[in-house]
Amino acid sequence: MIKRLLIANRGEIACRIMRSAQARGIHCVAVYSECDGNSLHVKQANEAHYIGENAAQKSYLDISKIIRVAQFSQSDAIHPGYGFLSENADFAEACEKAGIIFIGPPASAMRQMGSKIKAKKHIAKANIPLLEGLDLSALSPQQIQKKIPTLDYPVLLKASAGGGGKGMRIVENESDFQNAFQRAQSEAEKSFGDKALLLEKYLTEPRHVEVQVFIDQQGNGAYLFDRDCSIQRRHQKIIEEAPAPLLDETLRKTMGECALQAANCIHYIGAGTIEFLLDTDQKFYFMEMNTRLQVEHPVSEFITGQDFVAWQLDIAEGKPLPLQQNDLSSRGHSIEVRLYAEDPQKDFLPSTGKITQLEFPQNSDRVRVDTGVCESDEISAFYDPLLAKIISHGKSRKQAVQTLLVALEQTKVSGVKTNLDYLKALLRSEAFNDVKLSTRFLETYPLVFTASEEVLDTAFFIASAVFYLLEKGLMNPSPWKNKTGWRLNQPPCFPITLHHATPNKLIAKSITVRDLGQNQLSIHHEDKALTISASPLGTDNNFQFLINGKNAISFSVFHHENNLTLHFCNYSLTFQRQTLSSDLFQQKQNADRNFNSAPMNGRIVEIHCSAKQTLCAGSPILVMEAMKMEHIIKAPEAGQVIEFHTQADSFVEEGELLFTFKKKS
Amino acid sequence: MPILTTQLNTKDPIVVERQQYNHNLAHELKDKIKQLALGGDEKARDRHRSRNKLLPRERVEKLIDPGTAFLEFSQLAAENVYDEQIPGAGLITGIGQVSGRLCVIVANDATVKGGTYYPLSVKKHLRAQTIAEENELPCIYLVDSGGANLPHQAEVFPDKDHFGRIFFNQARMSAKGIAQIAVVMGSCTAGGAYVPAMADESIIVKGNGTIFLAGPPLVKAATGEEVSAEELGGAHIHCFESGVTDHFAENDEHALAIARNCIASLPLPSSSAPSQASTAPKYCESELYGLIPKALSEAFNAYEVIARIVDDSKLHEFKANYGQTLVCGFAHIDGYPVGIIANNGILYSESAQKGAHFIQLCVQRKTPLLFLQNISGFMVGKKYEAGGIAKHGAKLVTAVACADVPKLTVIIGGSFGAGNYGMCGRAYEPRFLFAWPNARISVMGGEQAASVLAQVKQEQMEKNQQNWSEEEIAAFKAPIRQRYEEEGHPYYASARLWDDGVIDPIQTRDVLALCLQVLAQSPQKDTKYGIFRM
Repeated sequence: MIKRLLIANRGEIACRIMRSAQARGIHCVAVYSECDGNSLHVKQANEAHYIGENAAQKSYLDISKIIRVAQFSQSDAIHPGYGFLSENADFAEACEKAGIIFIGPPASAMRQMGSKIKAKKHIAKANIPLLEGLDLSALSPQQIQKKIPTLDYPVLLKASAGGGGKGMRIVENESDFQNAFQRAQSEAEKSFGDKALLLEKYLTEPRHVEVQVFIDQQGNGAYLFDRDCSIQRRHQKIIEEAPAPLLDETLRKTMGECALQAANCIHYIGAGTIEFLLDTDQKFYFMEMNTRLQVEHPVSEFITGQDFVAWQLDIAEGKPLPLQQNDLSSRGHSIEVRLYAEDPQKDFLPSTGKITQLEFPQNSDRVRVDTGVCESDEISAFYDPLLAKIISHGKSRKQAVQTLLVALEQTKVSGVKTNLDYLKALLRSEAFNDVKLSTRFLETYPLVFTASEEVLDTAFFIASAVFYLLEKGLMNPSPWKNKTGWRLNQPPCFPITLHHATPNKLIAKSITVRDLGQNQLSIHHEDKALTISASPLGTDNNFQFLINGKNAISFSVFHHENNLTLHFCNYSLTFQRQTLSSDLFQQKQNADRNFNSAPMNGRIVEIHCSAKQTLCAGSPILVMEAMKMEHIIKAPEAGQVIEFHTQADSFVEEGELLFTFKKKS
Repeated sequence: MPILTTQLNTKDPIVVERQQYNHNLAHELKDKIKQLALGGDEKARDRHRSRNKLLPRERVEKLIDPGTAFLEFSQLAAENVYDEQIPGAGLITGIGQVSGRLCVIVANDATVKGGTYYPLSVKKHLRAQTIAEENELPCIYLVDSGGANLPHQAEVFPDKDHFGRIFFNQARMSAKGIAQIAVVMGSCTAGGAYVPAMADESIIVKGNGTIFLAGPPLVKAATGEEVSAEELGGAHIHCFESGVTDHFAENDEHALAIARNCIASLPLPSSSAPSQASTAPKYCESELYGLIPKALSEAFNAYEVIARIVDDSKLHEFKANYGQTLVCGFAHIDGYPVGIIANNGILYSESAQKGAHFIQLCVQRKTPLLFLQNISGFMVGKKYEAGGIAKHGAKLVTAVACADVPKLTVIIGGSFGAGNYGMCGRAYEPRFLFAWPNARISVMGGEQAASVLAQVKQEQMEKNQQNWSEEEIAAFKAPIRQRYEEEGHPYYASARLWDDGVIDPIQTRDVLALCLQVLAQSPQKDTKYGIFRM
């Protein structure tokens, strides 16, 4: 019996594991790095230990520290979650050596599946369909050279040791091969310290279908059905669903059994996932095996009604599988989206910062939110920017999509940029609803998820109106502030300047809101005007506007100081209220001052750069001395000195031109 | 405090008719103000904008704290006074909150005759300065003016309350520690040059702001020197060489931001928070429309007006049963205490004495006074003269004149004869004076004046044994009545700065609340009375 469990992970998965473990009465031990001291997984744990600096190498990936904490806390088992040390055979061995149960497969099985080349060798023996692959590391450059013209293009080169898309190259034709080969090799070496490459047939529109298996210590196995994880960007899954749609029952069964067989052939124990590529002709090929609990396990939990962490714990405790294959059935459909702190408008670059607002839908029998963050948490650049997984369940796929969309409408995040709008657009897209699933989905059906100019124009007006209404709602003892925008013999007038950043530019608009009374607002920007009739402010900052007497919209807002986020028309748009400030102009003026003439009488001590040398803003150009004080003249912005009119050691008079400067254009 | 009750029946056809009539009056007023608020014509405005200048109203909007109120004065100044239209007399004045401090703002409107000063422009500017001085409010001048309007120089330049007084006031206010900030956003020529030069701190906008005693044409005429306006008195010269201005601004917005910084560096005024929380009146302010009769000869109930202005419609009345034609009592407006004196009929000796007594109470308690004027005058006739109505009226006038608590006056109906004095007309220096659109102000009513004049003339004719037919009398009276109607109109009065503005009755409570806040932060003075004739 496991009594004390150390979770060698952070974020949502650490919280998720604790939930199941604590339900069994297990004492949970969390570990945390410097910036995670206040995070949810630490709060949820029964005890928590600091294990080092923020860089994962010095904390969550430091095997010896984690083992020490496990021993110190008298943990009898370690759950590695996913990522970090979850597929590290050395760690599994270290646990074994320390007499601690590692919740995962034996190190040997991990090693066999950890290398894709080795994995394929084992799988080939078990007669499981494989893409015709070739271990290039076993071939000499000459042999490879010979192969190039004979291949069935397109082909895929991938790092034998890798995952996550690193070291992967699609080669469309013969002439591209050499270049792709070299780049894949160097990337593989840089990422995994192993330049071995695999070559296989590249399927043009394959689906990514994976099967969940569990095998207990007694060798009994079961597959808990399949998932489709085809929708990926840069080989990162965004949406996962179970069961995989459009699979006939025979195929589903065949794949399940194959998966089990694959696991058995390496004497696998615990939870694992066999990933297949499913071609348009319904042929499937083994891709790889993941020897851990997957991020997307909740969709399978939803359709099977099982708790996979509980299954893992049972297996680790030596118990037989809770259910046999025949007892298992799949019910309904489940979909998961991964909500990331990232900017879909800037190539999904992670977005860091403080979460100022965080709202999720209530968990129910149809919606589940797995998260590891809370409001006012800081999203750092050190770890995966996953904020939450939002999972829905429905009788049908269609219903699951609808439920998930509603759940996403109730999800609100401010402070960091997220892919929320992107996910909503994806779930709404025709292609997704028509089940046009393939790993090339996003390239084939590019998403429109940025607001059109028209929507944006309206949003500017709406944001101005909301700012006005919020301000009007504030009680202030001074009548000058309390009577928002009050004017004599005129309707209240509320001028406001708003900024909104789009991927390409910053839009600034000066807008005037006039309150015509009876909840009627007239809003002007240049020659455009809009009337809004606003229904009284409800709770939770929800608004109902009737625009120009025709279009009724309801939306919610999040207001924090000068920032207002509108959750409007399927978008979350943030506007910043600008106040008149002299700072901007002051900076410009400082920069414009005659910095290139002598500020006083004095001596040139030293010239720091040569003419025509490129300088960045703030680079020193020369040093003057006057009244025993040294004065450094710096470049106000990037550019270059065209010519010096003085030299070191010469005396100059106040106002004398020292050099001519040209700004970088 | 007792809550006032109402007898107003909003379904009564007379009330419905009045409601409509007064609503229309207010609507006309607002339409007019909306039109005047545009300033100069479209061409002038476009030209102004093309110079990268903000319109004066935009400047004011950006200068004040976002979302706060702006109490504008003399919106109707110069309306229908001169041969040409001079909207707002070519400037915007008012009180606004800047960097958390209430300030008087004076902004020239260069789209109206180049922002030059007509006689009433000077009067409006000086009135704004008086408000600043009396209430100790910092002044911000947004200067964009060609100086005195030359064709009108005789009515603008030489007298005591003419152009020179502007700088006199600046110097005296500065001496009292009332900050004077000038923002030069356009020309500032000749006399106008002293606005920034006399200011405590001055800001000038690059490219548009110029200051010189004589512009390039005059310089050329005088000395033959040819020089551009920018070279002669631009921002660079005055910030880097002459030191006439202190802050160099890139554009209007920058200049306004600097002005805000200047104000932010002033000490905060003493607390002016209301003494209790504000409560809305029990009865809707818009019902005031239904209350006001179409003709001033009809009386209307002062209690009904008060009930729609004061907090929770509560009035602690003084001497409710004595001198009932003058209602006196204590109330709050938006949480600020105020002593109200309101006409509810003709002034009699008792009501005058009651008023004088009540003023003494307010002075003793340092409570601001609010006069709600609707007065045709003191009672006349043998009985009343013999009763000493002149001396009793004098008591009221003495008390009003000497009371050094801040006074506010709103003319809600007639303002005739000595009633105007006893009820704190313009001559009695209320801090602020506003009128409703239905108000009339003159030495007596048009009908009375016509009758008096007709009677005088008739007596003369009788002496000369001439005949005067009824038709002739009517023909004689009509133009007099007509003239009184015209000159007694609140627009006529407001155009000549006899008040601080005509206001929509339903904004009365708002206006008074804003004024009371200003008064609450201004210093208190001690009162010394003259001789009360007993």
